Amino acid sequence: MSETRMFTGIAAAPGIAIGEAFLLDEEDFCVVEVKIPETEIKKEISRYKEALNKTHQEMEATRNKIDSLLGKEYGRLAEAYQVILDDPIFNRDVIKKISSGVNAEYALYRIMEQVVKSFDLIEDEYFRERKHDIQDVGKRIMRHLIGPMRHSLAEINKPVVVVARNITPADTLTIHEGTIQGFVTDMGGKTSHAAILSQTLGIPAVVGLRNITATVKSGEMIILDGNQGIVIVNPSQEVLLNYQREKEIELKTSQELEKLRDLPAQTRDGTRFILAANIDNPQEAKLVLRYGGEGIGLYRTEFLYFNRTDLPSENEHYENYRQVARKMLPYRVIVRTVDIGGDKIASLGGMDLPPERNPFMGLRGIRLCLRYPEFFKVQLRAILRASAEGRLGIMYPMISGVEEFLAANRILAEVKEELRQRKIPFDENIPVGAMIEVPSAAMTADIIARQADFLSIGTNDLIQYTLAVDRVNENVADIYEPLHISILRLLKKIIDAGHNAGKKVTMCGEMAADPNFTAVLIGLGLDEFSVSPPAVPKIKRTIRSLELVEAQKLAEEIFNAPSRDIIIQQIKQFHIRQT
Amino acid sequence: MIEKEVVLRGIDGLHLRPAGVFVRLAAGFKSEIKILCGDQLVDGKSMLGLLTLGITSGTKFKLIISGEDEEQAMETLIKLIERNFENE
Repeated sequence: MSETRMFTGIAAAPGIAIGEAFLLDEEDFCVVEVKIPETEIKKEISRYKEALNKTHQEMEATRNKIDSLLGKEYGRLAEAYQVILDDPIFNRDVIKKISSGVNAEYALYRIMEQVVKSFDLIEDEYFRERKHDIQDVGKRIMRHLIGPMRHSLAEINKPVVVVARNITPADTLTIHEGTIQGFVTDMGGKTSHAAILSQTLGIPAVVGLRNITATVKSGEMIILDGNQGIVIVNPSQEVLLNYQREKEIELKTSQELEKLRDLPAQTRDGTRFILAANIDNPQEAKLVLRYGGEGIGLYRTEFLYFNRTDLPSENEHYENYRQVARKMLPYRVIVRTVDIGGDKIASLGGMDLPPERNPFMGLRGIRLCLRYPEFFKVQLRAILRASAEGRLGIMYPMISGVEEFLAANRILAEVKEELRQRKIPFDENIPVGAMIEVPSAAMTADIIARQADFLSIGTNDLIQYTLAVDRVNENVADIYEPLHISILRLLKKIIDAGHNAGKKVTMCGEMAADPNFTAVLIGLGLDEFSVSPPAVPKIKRTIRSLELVEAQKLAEEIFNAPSRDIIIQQIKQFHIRQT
Repeated sequence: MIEKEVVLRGIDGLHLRPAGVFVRLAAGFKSEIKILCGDQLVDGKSMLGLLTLGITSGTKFKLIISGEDEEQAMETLIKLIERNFENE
């Protein structure tokens, strides 16, 4: 048995897979030009047409399957492939080429080459990359001309881990349900086709491994750890046992959590909480629904500014918000206005701002937006326009006092007036909240709560700023403590301030996603939680295991505790009592 | 022959899915359907043709249709674009 090898890639879809490797090798057709005598051309054309027909049948046969397996969105992608197959390039140009006296394979090969060349000239990356889809359709026809060259996913009838250069939409058409344990690919990132597909199917995947296909052989034992982005080939008995155990635990938990999806986030004594989710991009909205999130409590909009060289247009903003608003109906989606620093804006050709020495405390978030109202208005206009098509809310990040909140609202009012005059519809009553993540805002939350429609506590920054701890700095990370008495006091202050003004208080920081803190938070009176989509079920389970009265007692107890150690002790004891 | 200029709005670009919907619909008409974008003229019934135009949000292009059902084809396709390529 050969030695154990380990690879690290991008964790694209969570979960653990263990199984034999099935290598899906790159197809390399060796196409030779053969002269076809005039008398044989007719026959050659009909041979090509037959291959086209077979490809057609193949696609047709799997199209309904993809609808039921992956949903309508993918179904339409499968349709797009069929439309490519119907293209005059395949129906007319290739046949014309064959008529000039060459074999079908060579004619197809040459025409494909031309198409790919013309696609390479396209500036827009999305369109340029579509050549892979077209090549894929070409290969399917070629396969029917030459005969099977490549192993296809359709041949798989036992549980395996698929190792491939890349996974294309067409590959997925032929999957037999339940046979594929996981995907391991050379190419791709977190949003590549393989990643989205695996997430949709709930199959673990590690992508972006560069050239794992060159080093793995079919039949080798593989462990795929989609949680950490690790692939282990030929694991030792010990590692294998460990992972098998972990996989069993994972399976059991996910089955339990699945059952929770359609149940309310409600305590044993019947108090309901809203359990929403945080997202970083529109694609994640479907994950929220899958995990049973009731809305989006934090839609981060920074993604619009990454990986590009210019500022996003109003329409780009609009399209992204509208999509999520519609998808999430009847639930609410809270869009957080952009929280980026000046350096980012400068690099996108916006205002010319010099780099700052301490950007965390610099011109960022609402400060930047207030300084450059025209820049801010682009986003506000887009959010308002999208609010006509769903239930949206707005919240401002990095508010340090009520003045900033009011100033932002004045700009919002201007934009609303402008839209009214242009007769563009929007939600007149769109709720507007303040993120409470700066200690000065927490201390004056009562004043802000009178002006805002809701408060949303961002614990990551609040803790960091209150304790003066950079939590990614290893030297001080142990001082970062969500249960520090100062934090508990601030939380209580914020929640009480909200309630006194008759406003809801929600939390969207990581503290909300840690089940160890859930009891304390509902005990303190928090109304809503917003957590990463995969954390929704476990927080729901925790809420469902609690009694509100007990949680309130706990909050009271620890609130008067003299030290952090005692607080931690008390929470531990509480959890033992509850289970 | 009739022609009409349109601007793509509401979607990011004439990507695989919307292009597929367009071509499918276009193929149902007898008329010849061409799309002119910049100085590129392509067959509106060809997916590859459409894709090579690389039409992104905000891009202007022209529909040029000629044939017996040109009026109906124009109306149907314009409506599709206005519907953001959602199937009815």
